[in-house]
Amino acid sequence: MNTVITRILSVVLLTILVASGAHAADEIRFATQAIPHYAPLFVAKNNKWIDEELAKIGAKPALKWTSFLAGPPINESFAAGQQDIGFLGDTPAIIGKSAGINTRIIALTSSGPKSLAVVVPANSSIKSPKDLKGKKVAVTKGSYAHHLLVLVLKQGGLTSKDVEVINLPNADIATAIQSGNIDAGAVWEPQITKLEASGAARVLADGTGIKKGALVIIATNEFVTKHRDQLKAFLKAYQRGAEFIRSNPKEAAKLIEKDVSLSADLLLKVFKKFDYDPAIQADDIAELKKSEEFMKENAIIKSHVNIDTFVDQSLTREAGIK
Amino acid sequence: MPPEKLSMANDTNSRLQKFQHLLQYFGLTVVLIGIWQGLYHLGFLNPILLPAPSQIALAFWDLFKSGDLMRHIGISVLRVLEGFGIAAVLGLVLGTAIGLSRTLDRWTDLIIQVVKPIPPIAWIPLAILWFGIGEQSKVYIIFLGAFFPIIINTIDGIRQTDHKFVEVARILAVPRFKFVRQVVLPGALPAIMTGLRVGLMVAWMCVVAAELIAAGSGIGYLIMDARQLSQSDVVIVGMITIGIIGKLMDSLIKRLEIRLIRWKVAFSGN
Amino acid sequence: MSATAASNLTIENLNKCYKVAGGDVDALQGINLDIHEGEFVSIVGSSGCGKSTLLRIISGLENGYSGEVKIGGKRIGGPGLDRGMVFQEHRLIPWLTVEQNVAFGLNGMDNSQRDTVVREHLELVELAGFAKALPHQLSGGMSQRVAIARALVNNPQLLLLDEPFGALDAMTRIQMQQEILRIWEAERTTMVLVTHDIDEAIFLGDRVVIMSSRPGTVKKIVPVHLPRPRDRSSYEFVQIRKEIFSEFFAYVERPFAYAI
Repeated sequence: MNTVITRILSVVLLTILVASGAHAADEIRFATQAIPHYAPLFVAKNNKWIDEELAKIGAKPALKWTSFLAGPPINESFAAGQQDIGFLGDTPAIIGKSAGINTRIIALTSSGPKSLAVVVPANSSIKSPKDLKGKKVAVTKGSYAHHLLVLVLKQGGLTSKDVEVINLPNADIATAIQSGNIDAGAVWEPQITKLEASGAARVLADGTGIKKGALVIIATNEFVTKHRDQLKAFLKAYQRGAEFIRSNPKEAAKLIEKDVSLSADLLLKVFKKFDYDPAIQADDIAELKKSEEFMKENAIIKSHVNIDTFVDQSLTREAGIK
Repeated sequence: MPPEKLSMANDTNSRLQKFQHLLQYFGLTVVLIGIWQGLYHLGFLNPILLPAPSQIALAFWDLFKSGDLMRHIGISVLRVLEGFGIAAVLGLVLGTAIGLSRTLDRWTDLIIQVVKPIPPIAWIPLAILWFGIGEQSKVYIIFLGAFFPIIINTIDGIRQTDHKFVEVARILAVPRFKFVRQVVLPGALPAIMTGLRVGLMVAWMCVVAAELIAAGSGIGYLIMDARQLSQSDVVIVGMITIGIIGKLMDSLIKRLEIRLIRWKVAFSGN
Repeated sequence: MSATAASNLTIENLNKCYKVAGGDVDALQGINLDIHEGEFVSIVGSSGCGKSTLLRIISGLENGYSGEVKIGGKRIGGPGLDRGMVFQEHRLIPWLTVEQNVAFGLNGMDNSQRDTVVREHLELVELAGFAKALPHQLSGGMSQRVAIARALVNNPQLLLLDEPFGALDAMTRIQMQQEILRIWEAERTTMVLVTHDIDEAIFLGDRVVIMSSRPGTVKKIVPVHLPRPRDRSSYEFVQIRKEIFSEFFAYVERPFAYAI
């Protein structure tokens, strides 16, 4: 009987431990995605600017990098207490917060209305959003492209119920478009450029005028409290990366080719679609609020997220970023 | 003690016993759920990692009220029945043929034994290439899950035909067709029913794997979708639903089995 | 004369050995036996003397022997409708009714013919009222009677019975012995019965073939010239029993010992 009770107790204990999430001292765990939206990050990383800025404040934590395919898996990882800083779209960030993940937005990574789009096969008969009615449309559920899809459908007077929505990862949507298995897909770079370059697809509608396509950097509240200075140092490094892309795009493209799996010349084209300024502006906050309202209305999130408290501009300000 | 008093005492005794049994049956589950809910209220639980029972119940009620849950269940059940149906027909026919013919068995044994251990999930890439991302690829995965238990149990059932009956049939010069029809097949029925039961269960368990292939509906889809949106409570609702429906399906087939093999219940194996 | 010879069972110099792990085991050695048409022959022996093997060879279920087994001068091949068999277990098919079980052996006749034959044989074993019953609803003795009906349905010339009443209790056994006698007197099929029950062998047989064991040989053949029905306590019966007993057991004050 004693051994049984001991076992039950240890299982309960384990669950609690897992639930709280353990954090090793002196390391920063990054959750990233290998896409050009986070180009400044890769520039800073490859030039060792993150280490530099941290050294300036006398910190030498180990930098751990994990790459994910989209925002929702990053949410999972944060929920399990495995990450400190994450890079994801505004939509999954808000979804995660709504589900109870203890994070805040500390900066933008980039914005680019043209960096996400609803695409159709090149020879498709679909000419405008209303033609999507009854068609098979693929999207990564819970991503910011999902939000775009809903907005594009709204332009055509449709809702999600008017189309057949299929859940696929970003890269698989591109494959499905090429193989003709679906009629349309909501994707983000680098898939848009890749598809256009190969002539397999064209853009039906992108975020221009309807979604700024802002992506954010989130950090756990615990990390903000414990390592505020490290975060500021990191943001400075990120800023340097963004400036480098502005001033030396060709070099930057060459430098991060491998990190985003896009050739340097295509990457140059893609750079033009992005504004890599990490400062959070007033209209960015307004956009986030619109996104949040939309998600609540469409039952994508169950409980309200207070954007004013979710966004923390203090860190960028203190880091001297506009 | 006067007889009436005695019998009343017996009644209360057995009622007490029944109550005790009921308590034991449900007791552990209720206590665990209670502890679970308590941990949540005390703040020990991260609701994403492990939602409280109350949240799960709420999510269940929402899904049920909107009709979504029943819709997803219906679609998944339909897929399972399709895949299982095909597996049953093919499995029974091929299994019978192989069971009755040693030659056929030698031809097919290697392929069956090698393909059998491959889990249906591993087939997903090929399934998508062959059948696309529509219903067919999902039904194919489910079919694979159900097929092997059915064919293998059918073959076994036929092989296990009691040798004693074979001797009787030889002595009485019973024609082969009649022997198969009257002795082999009914004798194989218990094993065949086992195969069908296991096949249905595996088919149902495969439905989550099958609905990984770009599904827009179904219980497996519900779970995956909720995962994308970090809705662990819905995930658990999906899991529990799968468990309950699976149990219901199993009970149904058990009933069918008892009906078909009524003689077995009385036959002690002489 | 030729009609009688046509269904005589002749066994000449029958030998059978089994290959076992240690080497060869002689199951049967030098069996010579002549069984005449219409006879009732009992074969008695202890376990392992090969009497069941002998029966199975006659039935055609087993091969791999040397020597000759002939019916009416013709060698037997595999199993055939001329030789019926009743086993120790009734071997009725559990999901078929009694009449379906009896009809199991009837092939190649139209339905009404078949039904008639089935009914006749059920009446023969006095189970006509149980035609629609399932085997599990019958007692051990009743099941065995159905098995006998089934074995006789094709009018075999020879009925082989391999310890048919061994699984039954003592009282049912005696009833069944009387039953089989009645059937034999009605049908006059040649019957070869294998048993380890000496009383049963004497009660039923015209002759009792005593087999020794390891290897199985015909030790002695004892004729039983008593008229039927036989009184198991009559002086002559007891004498024959004493004679056969002494082939198996040496009478010692205590304990009994096998003499074979």
